[in-house]
Amino acid sequence: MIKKAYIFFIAIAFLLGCKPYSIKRTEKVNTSVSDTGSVDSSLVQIYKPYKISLDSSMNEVLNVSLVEMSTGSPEGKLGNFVSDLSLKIGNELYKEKTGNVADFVLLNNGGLRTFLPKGNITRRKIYELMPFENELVVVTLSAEKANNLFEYIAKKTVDGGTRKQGVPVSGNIKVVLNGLSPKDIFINESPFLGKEYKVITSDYLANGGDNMTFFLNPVKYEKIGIKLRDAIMHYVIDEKKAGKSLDAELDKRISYVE
Amino acid sequence: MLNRREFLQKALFSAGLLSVSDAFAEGMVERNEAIKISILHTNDVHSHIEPFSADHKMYAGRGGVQNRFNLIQEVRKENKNTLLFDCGDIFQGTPYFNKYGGELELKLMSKMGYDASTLGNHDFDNGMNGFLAVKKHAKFPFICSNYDFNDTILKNKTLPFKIFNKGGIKVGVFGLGIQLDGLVDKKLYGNTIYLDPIKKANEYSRILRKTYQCDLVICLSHLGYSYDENKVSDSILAIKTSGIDLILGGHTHTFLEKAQEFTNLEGGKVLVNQVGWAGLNLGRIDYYFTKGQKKKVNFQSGRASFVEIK
Repeated sequence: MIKKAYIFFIAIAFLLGCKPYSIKRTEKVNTSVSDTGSVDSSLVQIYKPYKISLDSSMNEVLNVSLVEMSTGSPEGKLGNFVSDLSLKIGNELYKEKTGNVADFVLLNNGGLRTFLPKGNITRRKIYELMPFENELVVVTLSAEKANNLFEYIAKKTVDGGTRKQGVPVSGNIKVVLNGLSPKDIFINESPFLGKEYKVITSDYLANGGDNMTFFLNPVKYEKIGIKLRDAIMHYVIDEKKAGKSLDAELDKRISYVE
Repeated sequence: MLNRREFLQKALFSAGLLSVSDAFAEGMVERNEAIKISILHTNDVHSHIEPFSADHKMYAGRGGVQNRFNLIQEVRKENKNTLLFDCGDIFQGTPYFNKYGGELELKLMSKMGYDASTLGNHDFDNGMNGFLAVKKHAKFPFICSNYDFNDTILKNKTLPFKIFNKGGIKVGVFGLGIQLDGLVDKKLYGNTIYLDPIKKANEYSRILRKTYQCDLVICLSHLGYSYDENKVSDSILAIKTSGIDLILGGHTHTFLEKAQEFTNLEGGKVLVNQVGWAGLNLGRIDYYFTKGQKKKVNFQSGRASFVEIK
């Protein structure tokens, strides 16, 4: 009996093992995943307890936005909104801590992960917008590195190119671009001087993220002590407390030579 | 020439007893019918567990793990020789990740029966500690062939390649990750060393093809589909390597209507596929194998269409 089985397996092995298989043809179909109308809910059952706990806090409406905000190049309402609130909240904390204030904010559009709709803004939206645990830092740049920063903005802000996302900055700076070079730069209504500047950004970018190499080996690197998401959350809640809705506009903070 | 005993051992070990007899049973019914292997895959799901909300501008009601699982189960019902892969960026994108650290994503993928995944840059978002803390919920391996984790806590926690036996067909799988420098904070990936993906791809496809005699070689990639600038991508990988049949991709969130054909270094065909992000689409490639030709028969591209299931 055992011997018979042995021979049987040898037969199978020879049938299947002698020559390699080869691909005869292929079929390729990518299928959209949408309501399949199935009654199976085995996976829903697994995530349901997680969802219930999560929804109770995430569905809370924190404020209302008067406009839809999305990223853009050379500027977008969303980038402007997040940069401006980062300057306000960031500098409040930074001043409290050190007595100093930073000059402006630089972030990246890649880090803003969704648009903000017009209407109710829930805590969930803020998490979707800024899911990362990045914190705000102040980086003091040499004159040369600050110059590199503005060259980076110019390179990232060519319109029409699919990979050029634009770079969000706070509204207290004005950059006029001429092709791939910055032509005029104003910071708090003063022309850009060859001097050190203090920039508020995220630790991710300060560590060279999104190829922001000008942030590496800075004059000074200081933590502010707040995550970017929490800064957004605080601002949204504070505005609500002050009876204000959320708003943002395009103000030509980055623009092209006319 | 192997003697009988060695040959038998080799055959049983390599193909696995069960799959040998399964294939044989099928072969008995219709000896000349091709063996079909279905490859299903996702990428950049980014913690999208529930379908998009009904008021979402672009994707209302689409996606969601339950819908995905139902589709996967339909394919499995039709063909038990089905493999399911993910190409990284499992994490980050909904509060599920912020609150539960990826535990739920990995639990659900395990329940769906994923066979393997590679790592995307966002899978490092809670650091290697964060990944390791939830990894136990994954009942499938992570395959990384071009990250050297030897000087990190992920040492020996991933595989450089894995071979799956389906219906007597040996499917060799390796995985390629993207350069982390400049993309992920250094403190999150620590002493991970990024190795040249093209070099590693050629190395592992040769091992899988020659040493392990795989019938189908698949690369799980998180390099991205293609770039304007001169940066390594799946499109470049496809033409600068040999021995790979299929590159499943991610990172660039590219929605391909179907897998794209490229010609590799040796003039052979290689397919590249990627299915956007957020679990909106499920990629599928069916391979039909015949046995015994001395020369490998180049596949023809068969039926290919984009199916929207309402």
